[in-house]
Amino acid sequence: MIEDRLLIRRFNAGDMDALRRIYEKYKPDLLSVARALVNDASAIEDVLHDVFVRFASQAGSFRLKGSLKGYLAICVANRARNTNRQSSQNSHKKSVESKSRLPELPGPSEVAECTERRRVVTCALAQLPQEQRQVVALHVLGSLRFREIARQTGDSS
Amino acid sequence: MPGKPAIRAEKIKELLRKTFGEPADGPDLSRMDERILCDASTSMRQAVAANQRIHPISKWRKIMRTKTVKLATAAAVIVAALVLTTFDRFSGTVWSVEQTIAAIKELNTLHIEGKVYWGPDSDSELVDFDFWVQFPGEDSEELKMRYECDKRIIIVEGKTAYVFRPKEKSVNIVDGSDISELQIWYKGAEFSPWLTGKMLWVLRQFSDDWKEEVQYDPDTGKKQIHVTCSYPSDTSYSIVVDDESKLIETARMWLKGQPCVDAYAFTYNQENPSDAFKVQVPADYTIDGEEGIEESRALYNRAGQLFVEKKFTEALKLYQQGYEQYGSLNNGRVGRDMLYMVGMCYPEIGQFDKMLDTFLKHISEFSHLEGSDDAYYCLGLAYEELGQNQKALEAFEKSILIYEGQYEPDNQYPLKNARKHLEKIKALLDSGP
Repeated sequence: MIEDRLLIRRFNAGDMDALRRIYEKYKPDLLSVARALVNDASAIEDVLHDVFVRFASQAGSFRLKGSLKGYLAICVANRARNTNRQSSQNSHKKSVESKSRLPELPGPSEVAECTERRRVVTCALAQLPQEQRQVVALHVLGSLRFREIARQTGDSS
Repeated sequence: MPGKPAIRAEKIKELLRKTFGEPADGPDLSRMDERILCDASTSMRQAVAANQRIHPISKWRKIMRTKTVKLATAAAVIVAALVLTTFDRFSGTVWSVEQTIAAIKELNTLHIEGKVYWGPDSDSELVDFDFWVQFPGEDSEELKMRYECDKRIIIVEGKTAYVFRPKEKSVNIVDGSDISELQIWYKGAEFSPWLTGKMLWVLRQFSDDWKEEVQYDPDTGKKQIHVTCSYPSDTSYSIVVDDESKLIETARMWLKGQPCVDAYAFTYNQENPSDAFKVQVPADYTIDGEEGIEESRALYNRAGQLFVEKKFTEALKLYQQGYEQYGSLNNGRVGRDMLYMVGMCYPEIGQFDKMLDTFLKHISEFSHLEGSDDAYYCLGLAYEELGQNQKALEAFEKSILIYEGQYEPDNQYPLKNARKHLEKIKALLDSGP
């Protein structure tokens, strides 16, 4: 994307507005990807936070290969995987029980819509192998093409 | 009543989008935004401060690594050299920005024909391009440009750029001031020294091999000035200037010894084709970035949420509002989807007559667009509910005629459903009154 290249140029020059624009532009898709991949809903914000802080730390020397959206979405997916792994290790004692359980659902006061649908879809998605789950999330929610996912993840299968 | 989209894969995708696209159980966005942006800004400031230790010339070399910037540079050099040759006359006299401004003001139009290598370095192909420019002047306050090759057509009107992708049948409408390739021209339009003075300054300061040589055209015998230079070391330029007019005749650029751009014909101040800057989006193109698109999506999503919550009357109002307010966006696709959902709301509140009217209208307005082909099936359903079996039969038959061959396997919605309803109605009609 030509617009992204300019944004990256401004970003590398230290333009805060460019950083904000990148964040606002891709936040919705990245949030969707994070929601689909992070088992613990309370960690979604941290995943996004870590990805953007890490991204910002490369200002001045960031080189974009492929699309910016693809890059950020893969970062979110990788970070989500790490978070899940970490969370799984932390709750090792409960792992036998939690493996068969659904991811934590939001309380009724927090959510007024689609609880049942969310539960069913989350459960179904959680049953996929991690790699497939990641591809589904990146393709459907991150709107990345399979080719780009393969290129960014280095996995052509 | 079947939902939309009906194809299984699309249904799954839609379901995933609905489920994870909504911020229902997500973090508090405004607080989250504040936290992330605050921490990211701090991180960015530190990174940039650390990076500023790099020598400015190194930064310039780094910028010049990208192909886009090199292409833009080539364009800048072409114009810069044009100005230089017009006013400097290679006499070594002091050059000034004011002279450049005066020179550019003299130009009304520019047309460049050439060839460009398109695609990644390892797999680039040579494509023809045309580039028309109409500088702001008495006739128009706006800069107008059209860049065309078989991969892209970019039309710029003032600050808006339309980027057509013929292969993908899509057009992206963007703020032209955000397109890096066009920046150089905007700056030119504003008589920025970056296009003229600074760019030229950079080349003359840093190019070790700037050469000007008088030669004679072997065909016409016309006196020409050949300018060659390179900067960075892997990027070279060759510009031929007509001595009489002081205007560029050809310009070429190489990257790492490989040809990159060959602008072989420059035409000045000729009338541009009347439709060169005319923006006409073909009906089968999708449009991204159109003004109002985001608002229409938000409205569509809000209405969809109400639909899911079975608040059909409220959803209907929003879909109707969306159809009226944003119906023409994206070549009518927004209207197509809004009106379709209006039609899907009516049966939920028992108003089949209005469902019928809506799908008749949908067919009349949107049957030329892809993705609207199950409207005939919905029309059949409406007729069937209203007891107009003959018309329902015709609608289902029509829908089968349209769908057959489109869906593989053909035992899925809406083909499968239309056949089922057709059989049912035929049985009813055969059994007589």
